[in-house]
Amino acid sequence: MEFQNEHLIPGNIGHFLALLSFVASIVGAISFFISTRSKLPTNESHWYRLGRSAFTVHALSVFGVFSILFYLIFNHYFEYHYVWDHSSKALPFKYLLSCFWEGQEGSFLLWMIWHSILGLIYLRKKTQWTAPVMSVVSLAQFFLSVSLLGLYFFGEKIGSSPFALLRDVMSEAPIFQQANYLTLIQDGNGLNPLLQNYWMVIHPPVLFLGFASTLFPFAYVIAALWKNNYDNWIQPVIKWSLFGGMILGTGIMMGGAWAYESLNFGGYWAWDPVENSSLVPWLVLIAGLHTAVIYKATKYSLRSTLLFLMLSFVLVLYSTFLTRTGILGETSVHAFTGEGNYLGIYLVLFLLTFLLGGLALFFYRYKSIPDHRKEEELSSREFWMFIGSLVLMISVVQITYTTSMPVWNEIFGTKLTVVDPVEHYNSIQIWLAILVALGTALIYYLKFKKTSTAFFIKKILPPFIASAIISALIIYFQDLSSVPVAILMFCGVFTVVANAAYIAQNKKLNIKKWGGNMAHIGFGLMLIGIVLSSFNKNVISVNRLGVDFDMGKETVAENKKESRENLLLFRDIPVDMAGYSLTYEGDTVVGPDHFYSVRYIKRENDTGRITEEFILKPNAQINPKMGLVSNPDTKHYLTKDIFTYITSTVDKSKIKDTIAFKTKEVSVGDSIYFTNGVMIYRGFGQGSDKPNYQAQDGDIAVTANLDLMDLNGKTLKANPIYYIRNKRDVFNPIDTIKQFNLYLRVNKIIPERKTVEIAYKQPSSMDDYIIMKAIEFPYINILWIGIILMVLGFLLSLYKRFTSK
Amino acid sequence: MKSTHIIILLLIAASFAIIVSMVGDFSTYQTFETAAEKPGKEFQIIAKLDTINKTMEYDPIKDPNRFVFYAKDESGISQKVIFSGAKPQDFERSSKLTMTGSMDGETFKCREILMKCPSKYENDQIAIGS
Repeated sequence: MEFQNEHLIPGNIGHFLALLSFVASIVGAISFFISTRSKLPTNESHWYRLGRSAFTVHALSVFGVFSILFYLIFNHYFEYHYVWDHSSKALPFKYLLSCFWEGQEGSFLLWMIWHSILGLIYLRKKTQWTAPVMSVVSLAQFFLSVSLLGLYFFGEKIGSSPFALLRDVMSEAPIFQQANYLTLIQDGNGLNPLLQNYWMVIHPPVLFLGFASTLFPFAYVIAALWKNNYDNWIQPVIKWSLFGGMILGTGIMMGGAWAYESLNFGGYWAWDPVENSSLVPWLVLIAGLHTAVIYKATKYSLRSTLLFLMLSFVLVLYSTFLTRTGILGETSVHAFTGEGNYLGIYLVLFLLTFLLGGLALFFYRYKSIPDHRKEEELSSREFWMFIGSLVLMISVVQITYTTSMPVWNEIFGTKLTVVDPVEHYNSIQIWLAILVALGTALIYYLKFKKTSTAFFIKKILPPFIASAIISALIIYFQDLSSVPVAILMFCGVFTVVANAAYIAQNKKLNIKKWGGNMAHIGFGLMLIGIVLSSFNKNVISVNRLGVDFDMGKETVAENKKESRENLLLFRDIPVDMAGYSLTYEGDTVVGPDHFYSVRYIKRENDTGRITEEFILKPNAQINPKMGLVSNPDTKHYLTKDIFTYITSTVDKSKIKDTIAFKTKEVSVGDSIYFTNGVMIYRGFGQGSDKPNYQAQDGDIAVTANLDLMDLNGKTLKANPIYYIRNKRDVFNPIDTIKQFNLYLRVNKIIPERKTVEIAYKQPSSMDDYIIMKAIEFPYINILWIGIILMVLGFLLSLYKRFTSK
Repeated sequence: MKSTHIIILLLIAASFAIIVSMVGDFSTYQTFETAAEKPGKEFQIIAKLDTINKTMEYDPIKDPNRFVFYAKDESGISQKVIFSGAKPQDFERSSKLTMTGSMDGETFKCREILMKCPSKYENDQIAIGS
């Protein structure tokens, strides 16, 4: 059967390019491999050139595949399964990008693009490391290209192609019996509404660039072990680690910002397995970066550097395994799922190749890796930096262990779970954060090799005292009543003060050298921001209606808190909440989204004068596939955020229309009073532009012009239409005045008395309500500032390493 | 022994202590029956919504934070559940519930529900327009 209207050419080209990129990655990997092993310079450069050409072909094919897939999504070619599955026609341009990386194929493609770009940039200058590093990069690309093949080998399907046709994937469906099936497919499946957020346009590319940049430190580790040569090695490794640390860190925190803005778990970090598994490679990378700095300065810690940087990329693969295979199913709110069994097997193979290959090489070379025989001094910077890295690794072990619980359950057939994950992670990680922060505060005051105690104490004492005073004040005024939280607050402040003081004393205005300290200050501020915003996070929507019931908590207060976090707001009925008077004023519909206007008013106690007034519009999308998808709206103050979101709402279509119209005959200037306002009839007008009226020849149409005013003095004009068609048919459609929750109609016109009869009705406001939650996050801006400073610190360090030899 | 060794040993001891302290946070998924053996202690239960001859009660006008329904756990026992929150939209369509809470007499007091909707994942339904 010949199918109609299909666009098969781009898909065929895409298929071909995917295959080409696969073949080219093999050629590249082999060529770079032989080049690395060649003893003869002519051979070496011959194979190197071949490898470079192959990689270039590979990279260009990947760009081609990427562009074609985007072209298909952009043009809504729903004959392609990927396009149909992840996009729909109504999506604005920016979200078409989000569609691209919603699925596994697209996100792997994004990953490959970054490897290709970084590889091409890296290939511009040849060093002794280029060939071995690029063999590893090409090997990684080989594995990733396999996943896009979608070909059958020996009856087994290998990979899944983004260009698979809908009619092939769902060949069972009866509509594919028809040649014109495309005319029956009106629209695609659409994009998960949670991903329709601007952070989701930018967060995945940045995160994947971060993932991609961990491959290069890994490749350098393999290259050094392979060549058994560690000269001129550490400089590029530190640069790549700094770059990776900066980008991956930014990507992770953008994910946090997305969660804060568009998810309603009430925060920026929930220790969700998906978050954890991207945090872990970053922590390992940071540990590796610090041991690399130690090695550069003192020749200590080479082995740990090799191991950590190797693990960082392997953990990126592990993270992909956790998030993409659906094994997290029961523990994560993120909506990735099982994209087939083959994917799990394939990712395990990918991971084991890189992990076991790397470890085998490491232990094979273990004896010949240069190592310092002499012990580090207890007073040396390198020793404590190393301890700090170890603490980071303990943190990594703990997070990975708990996050992997579903994997353990799968392997050992157990059914273990953590009942309160947030509490679980917090209670352990807080102590590790304390240790790391303490180290971050002190480290610059220690010198490499050896520090004299007198010097150290003299230098550290002023910042220590200053921090003790500042943090004591914060702890007192912010009421940080938990001991570990108070200690963490001190350590955060100490980190900021000590590093700022170090800049002031030693680096002055030589901004180029601020990098390390600045990143540390950023880290300290992040800790302060996290402590203040989460420890004193306050659900302010405590409900005053309804009954209490026992939640099994120790105290009455806790019971109340548990049971009353949701607040019911009837339309137009003000409710007091945490010093504000809240009024739900109705909803507006924009596309699939309902925006619920909630007016916040703050009044002076005695005079009742309004001191503050704003409207938050949390939105909820009643999604046909996922039910209510709620996006919060947030009022940002300098010192706090008020975060509001809808937990439940009425389905207006289900409200029974039981209220009858009331009628009143009015002449010009007469008023009609309704529940929340008044309308005044101003006379007739012309009504040709009404949306519920299409003019036809011979129509006689008039509108009744009405001025509406509500109790607050808000005014609006309404003009319900009345028309006679074909000289005898009378039409008087209902006008809906949403802002007033009012329905209007011109019942009849009475020329002899020069009056009109207006019919009006208002559904009860009891039928229209929302249930919402409001949370106050104090001082959350400190967290965002901290993140920005940390990223800037990375950037400065990177700049310094690139400009000074 | 060098002092550096002592510090590293301390660190190892600390990590050991952490791992030991973690054990208490773990538990297995329970059924209503096993959770009832320790009333008041929090567990996680995997269950399905039970609507056969049972009704869901949610009257936000009376109390927006009280949602009552019945769920059937993996052993097939159906139990009354009181959730201290708003009724999640489209709760009827959930295929699987992971509930966190504790037993109190004959009811399960639930403070958190993770819902899995089949429709969220099964994209293989083609909507046909006219």
